[in-house]
Amino acid sequence: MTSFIAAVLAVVAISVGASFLLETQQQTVDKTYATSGTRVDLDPRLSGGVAPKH
Amino acid sequence: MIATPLFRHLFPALLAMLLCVAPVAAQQPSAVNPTASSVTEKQLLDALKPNSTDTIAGRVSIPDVRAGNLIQPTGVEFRAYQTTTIFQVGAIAIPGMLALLALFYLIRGRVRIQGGPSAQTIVRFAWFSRFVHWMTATSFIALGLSGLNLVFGKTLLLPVIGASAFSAMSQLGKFVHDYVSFAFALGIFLMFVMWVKDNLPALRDIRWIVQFGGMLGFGHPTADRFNAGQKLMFWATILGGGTLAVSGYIMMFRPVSFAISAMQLATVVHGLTGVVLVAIILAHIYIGTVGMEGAFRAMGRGTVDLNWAKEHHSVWVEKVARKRPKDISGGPAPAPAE
Repeated sequence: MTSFIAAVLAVVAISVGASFLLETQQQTVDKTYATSGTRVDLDPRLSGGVAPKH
Repeated sequence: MIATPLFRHLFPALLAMLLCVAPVAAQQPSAVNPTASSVTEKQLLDALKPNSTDTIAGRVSIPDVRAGNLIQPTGVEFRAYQTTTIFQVGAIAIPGMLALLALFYLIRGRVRIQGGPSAQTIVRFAWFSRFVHWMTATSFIALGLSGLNLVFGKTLLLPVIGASAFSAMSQLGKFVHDYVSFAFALGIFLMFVMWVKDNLPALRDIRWIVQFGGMLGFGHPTADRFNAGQKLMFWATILGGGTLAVSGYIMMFRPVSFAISAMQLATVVHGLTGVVLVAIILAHIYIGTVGMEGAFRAMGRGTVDLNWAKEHHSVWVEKVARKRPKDISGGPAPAPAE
């Protein structure tokens, strides 16, 4: 029984720890998906044709 | 002149309209060549054909180049998987397993200790082993429920509890699924390290499988610490759990270098592995609780009845009696003196 209670507490502790770690380490979307020197590309964005297969 | 006042009012209005329209007209290209540098309609239609693997993509200046993906025909198949396939697989695997277990219980009943409970016990799992087992088990239940909500929730729960409650619950489930996964991944790793040497295949496993572990009434095949059924469960858990962890973290951290097709593959693998592993674990829960007398005690107290151990793990009992006799305790009480 003590192993079960300790396990539940460990799951909660690890989960809360992971949430704090990710909150501090991960960047927010506006920082991750933007550059400081964003500029307008003079070439057309959709230049046409079929892009290489991924 | 009747027309003069009318002209005096209309002329400024017409002049103003001309001044507004003139710049717009000047912006229109004088000559349009639709086949020169723009995407031709034929190319677009070819890329959109059902069996096409071509992609229509542009360029973006942000780090995530996948944002430049405009059209990917394989996305149609991916959407079909998300809306239909995963639902069908889950609807077959999980209720199907529950039906099989119910049928097995009705036919076979609870597997009893044939020799009856003895007064002796043998240490089966140490405290830390049980701790790791329960850590993995409780986290898997949380992950399973929050994951199944993604597959079945919209169909089964939303009409019952309403949009607001379902939305709040799904949002909470998303956080639970993300953060609890770390305890699950750690548990899978620790279980692999602790029990891999006892779960390597052995020749006697073939006999166990042929006799179905003695559960069909053909006698009890010998087994070491873990029998073939437990070994299959171990490897399903390790490989399935490992696959879930790897594919899940690909989805969670979304490496920029991964193509959209790789992300879609991770999503498909994660969902299918998840529902299949839930079905497999249901069988594990059944045999560890109502399905077999004396089995739950192994993870509950850490000890099992000696007769249970001799019936299901005779080779292991002989080894323990020879190497760690202190692990066998609670011998028959001496007869009282007259």
